[in-house]
Amino acid sequence: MSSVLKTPIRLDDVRHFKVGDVVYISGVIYTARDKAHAKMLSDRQRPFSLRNACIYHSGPLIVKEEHTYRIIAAGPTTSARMNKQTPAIVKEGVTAIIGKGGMSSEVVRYLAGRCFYLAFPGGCGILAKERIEEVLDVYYAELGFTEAVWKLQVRDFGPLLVAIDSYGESIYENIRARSRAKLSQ
Amino acid sequence: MTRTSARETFISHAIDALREAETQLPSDVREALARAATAETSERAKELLCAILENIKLAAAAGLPMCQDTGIPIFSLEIGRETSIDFNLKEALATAIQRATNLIPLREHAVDPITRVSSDEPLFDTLYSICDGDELSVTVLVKGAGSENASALAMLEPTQDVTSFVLNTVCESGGKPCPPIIVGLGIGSTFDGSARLAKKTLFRSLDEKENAFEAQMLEQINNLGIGPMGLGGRTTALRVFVEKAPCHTAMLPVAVAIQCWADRKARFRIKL
Repeated sequence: MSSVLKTPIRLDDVRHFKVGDVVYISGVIYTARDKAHAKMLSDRQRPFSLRNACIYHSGPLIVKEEHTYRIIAAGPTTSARMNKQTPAIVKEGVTAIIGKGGMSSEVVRYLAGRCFYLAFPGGCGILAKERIEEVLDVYYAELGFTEAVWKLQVRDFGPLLVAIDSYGESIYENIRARSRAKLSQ
Repeated sequence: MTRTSARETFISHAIDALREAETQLPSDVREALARAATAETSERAKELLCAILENIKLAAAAGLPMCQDTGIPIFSLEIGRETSIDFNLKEALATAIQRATNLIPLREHAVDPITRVSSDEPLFDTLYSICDGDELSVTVLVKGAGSENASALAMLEPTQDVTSFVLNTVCESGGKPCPPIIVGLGIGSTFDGSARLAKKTLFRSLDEKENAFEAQMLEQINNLGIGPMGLGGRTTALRVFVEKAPCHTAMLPVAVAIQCWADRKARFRIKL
């Protein structure tokens, strides 16, 4: 099953998909990695809402030009670094996470009934940037361009593989269980 | 050559090499990825490899870095015995990186390791060796954090199994280092010596003939079924390189240096 989802993404939309499905996202996504997660959680006056939001684990390569920001490359970063903070972020209402490499079994369990995790091919910074139409805003720029939250307008962002669904299923866990079984043979 | 011009020539070559590495994947890596895409039987793995190949093509055509993680440049400098270098190599490399940051551009992601505050000091590493001749030969390897974080070192007991440690390391890192990966093993030497051996193997060409141990290790890694991006398939690693050195009879250091599919390398040589 493959389809285009428009942001904000409601839980009802998320529930339509299971691991192995491919989706594309159009609308607004927010980049966030290590420092941004800590900042989003501690900031009582967070200048944007995470309700039905889509978080993109990415630290884009962006340059500032006179009146605008130019994205050079914007592929995903390793999601597992955000394992610890993810339940608290999802509790704020995040319904979609885009990243690479998968997340811990604790996160997989927490996502069940709340959110799904979408894999974008790692290292593909140019493919990702081609689907970004505009930089809408930047928050927490004091963290530096890599760690800041970038509000991006995207069109048909993907292909995104549903790698962890909202039913507690994770492709990564299935693959790892098989690899571990082979190792213990 | 005057003092300034030798330094300037070196800096300009270093910037060109950085640009080439960031924007164009070497042909040995590109071809290995293309072969893997053809050979894969998993449809998902095939699609991921095709996305990677498409990304490589677009980056080269646009002259832009293929990955937003423009990485850590690691310079291997082979210094000819008859060269006379009248400038500070490390300072020249730092200057090259500073200039390349604006020119290519590169992502500014260096931080102080304790305070985690952005650092103005350029981030890079160097490996030096002395060789014959009157040339300075430099290879730059660009290493992303995802794969560097998946690398591991163990001070095994002499009776412990090297293969199990390597397979466990690759298995537990799963999709995190952006597979298909290149695995460099340093076996023997000392704690830091094994890590250096492992790192040095990553400068070798994928086309180099593999020995029986390397071939067997590659086969075992690919049998794990981790696949591109950890999402299943045959292609977990493109190549395993092994370098060994004698070690103390009471020791067995093993280092596993993992490189992502974006195995970015470029080289230049100058007469000095």
